[in-house]
Amino acid sequence: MTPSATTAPGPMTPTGPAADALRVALVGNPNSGKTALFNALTGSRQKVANYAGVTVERKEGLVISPSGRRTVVLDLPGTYSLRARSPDEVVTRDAVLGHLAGEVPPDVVICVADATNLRLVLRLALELKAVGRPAVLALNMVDIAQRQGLDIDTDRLSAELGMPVIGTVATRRRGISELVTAVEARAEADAAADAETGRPQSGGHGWTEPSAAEIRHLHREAERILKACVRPPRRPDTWTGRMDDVLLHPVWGIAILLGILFVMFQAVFAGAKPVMDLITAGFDALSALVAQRLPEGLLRSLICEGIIAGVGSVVVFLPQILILFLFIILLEDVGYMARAAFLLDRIMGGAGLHGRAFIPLLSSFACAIPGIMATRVIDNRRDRLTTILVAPLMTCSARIPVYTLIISAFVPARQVLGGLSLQGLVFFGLYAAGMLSALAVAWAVRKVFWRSASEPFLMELPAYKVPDPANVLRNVALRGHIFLRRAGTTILSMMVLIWFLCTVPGKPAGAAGPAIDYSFAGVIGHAIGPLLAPIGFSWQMTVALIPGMAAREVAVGALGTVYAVSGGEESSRVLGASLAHQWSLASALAFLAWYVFAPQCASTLAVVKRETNSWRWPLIMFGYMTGLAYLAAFIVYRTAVAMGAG
Amino acid sequence: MGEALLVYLIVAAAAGWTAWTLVLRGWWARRAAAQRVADTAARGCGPDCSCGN
Repeated sequence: MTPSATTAPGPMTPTGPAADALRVALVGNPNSGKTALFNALTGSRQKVANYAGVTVERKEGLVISPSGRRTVVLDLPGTYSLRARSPDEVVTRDAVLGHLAGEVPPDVVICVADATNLRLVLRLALELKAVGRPAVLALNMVDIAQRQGLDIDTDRLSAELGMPVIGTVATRRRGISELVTAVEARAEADAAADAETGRPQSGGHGWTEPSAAEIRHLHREAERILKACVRPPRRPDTWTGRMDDVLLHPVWGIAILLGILFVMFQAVFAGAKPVMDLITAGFDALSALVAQRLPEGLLRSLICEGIIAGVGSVVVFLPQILILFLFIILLEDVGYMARAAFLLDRIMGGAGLHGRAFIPLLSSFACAIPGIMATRVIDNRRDRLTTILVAPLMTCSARIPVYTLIISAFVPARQVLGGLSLQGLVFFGLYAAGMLSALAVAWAVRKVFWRSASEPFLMELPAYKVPDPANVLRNVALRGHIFLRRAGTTILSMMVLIWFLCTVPGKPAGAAGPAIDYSFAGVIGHAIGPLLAPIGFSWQMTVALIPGMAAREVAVGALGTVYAVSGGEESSRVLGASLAHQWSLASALAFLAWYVFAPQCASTLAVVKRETNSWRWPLIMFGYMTGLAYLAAFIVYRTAVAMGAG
Repeated sequence: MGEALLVYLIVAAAAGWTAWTLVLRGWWARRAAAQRVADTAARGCGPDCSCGN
């Protein structure tokens, strides 16, 4: 079996490269290991796009079966029922029924089940059976079920459901070949039956949405099958229960969660430093080499001060981003993230946020864009809009370069409170400020725009499991790849433009000031300067904010370029030291406060427009975040100046 | 003169790339997706549907 990526850019069409391939759709409850199974089937190279006309993510991969048949696998959004409520669930339902515009109906549906928690997925399997499309049940995580002492009679289960049942462990790639073979056999049997009876291949034509009474009936049927096919362990697994007694405790649970987050942010600083120093040295050596080979002039300036200094000052933060994602992915794979959502629901509920908002808000720590797109898991429109509005306040990875640059330059690297890094403490504080302000704004939004009770939060807690190192490393590498790709494309081109703005037009003959003072960037910075002077921003800081609209981390590259140009190459090598020399502590703190709230991210605003289908909400977001950023920076700057830090 | 021309060409390419990645690519993808939906709707209920509608 050979995993491979498809080459089709969007939804597959009969005329596409995989026109003759078998089409398989993965359907299952959230947290059933559906995506892990998709990864195990198709490998790490997949095609990710959006469904036509909507913003639900579409993942597709190609697998070659042992018999050599090409099989296109589609990973559908998680759902508990075909009685769809959220946009994600509508996509899953329509894809299974073959009603999704631009999407070829699947030949076979793989219903992915968490073997440790079969109750809800059995009901979904019965709904799928009613659709009439050939199906196979993938009994995933059978290893954990065995460890828990669950005895599942797969033959009986297969007979009850009327579909083959294959045990799999997606993270260890166990049972994958058997699953592909079963899918192929099911498709062939169905085709043979079609040829014999002459009935149409596609199911779903006579399907009608089940009523509440029908759903209750299916639920009772699922309970009966569960009792008939699954024997509970003789000695129930008390390990998970004992762990949850501590980790979900109202006091200890929160303390442990805060402790984990704190350790994570300390590791981001302490663990990354040696590699960051190496990367800095590498870019310095590259810059020196280019400077030796090229004569002094515009081209050397572009390469050394624009490209190498600018891109280097962003790439240097790669180790910190990798460490942060290593923690996030590990916690997710262990099964702790769902517990964290449960713990935080009490806090978020008090602020008027839906419990499900935890996942989008957590995703926003990586980037607000996937976070905002993840709000589709929230059915209620008002809850969803509230979450969208506050998601960019969570500290995204693009802010890390800005925070670490300023903290490293202005906060002394010493230990406080019995061995804690002061820099890590400030970093943690900035994250906390983002989270607290998100809660405060959510509370205010509900008070200002609407007053309604939130829906109750229902979420299944997955069993604890040992993470698969290969899966963790692959996901961390993927994050690193995305960051480097941005640095090598968007950020690189932005750096060239910033260098141009900072260099052209050149210094007039006989002029006394530094050359950048006479450039386009200088003119723009000086023009906006008076507006931002009350919050302690110099014109160089103002210049850095402008390209930061493309992506927040570009501000760091822009500062690198601005100071490299105005102060020579030496400044770019030690940007932090240069800032410490040229900025006051009050201005640096105001800059940090600005970036806690800063709305400078054009992509985020564009996604909000797309998700809400209106310019109203991105404009409200830009307005309130700019206002908060200015207010916070003003208060911080004035307070710091009053305390003698100006 | 040659060096300045090369630099300005690189800057123009960067400007074009930035405009493409930040604005034009998204607009183009949305237009293509809308076209696909319209094409499918014009054909009937689905590309290989056998219901006869």
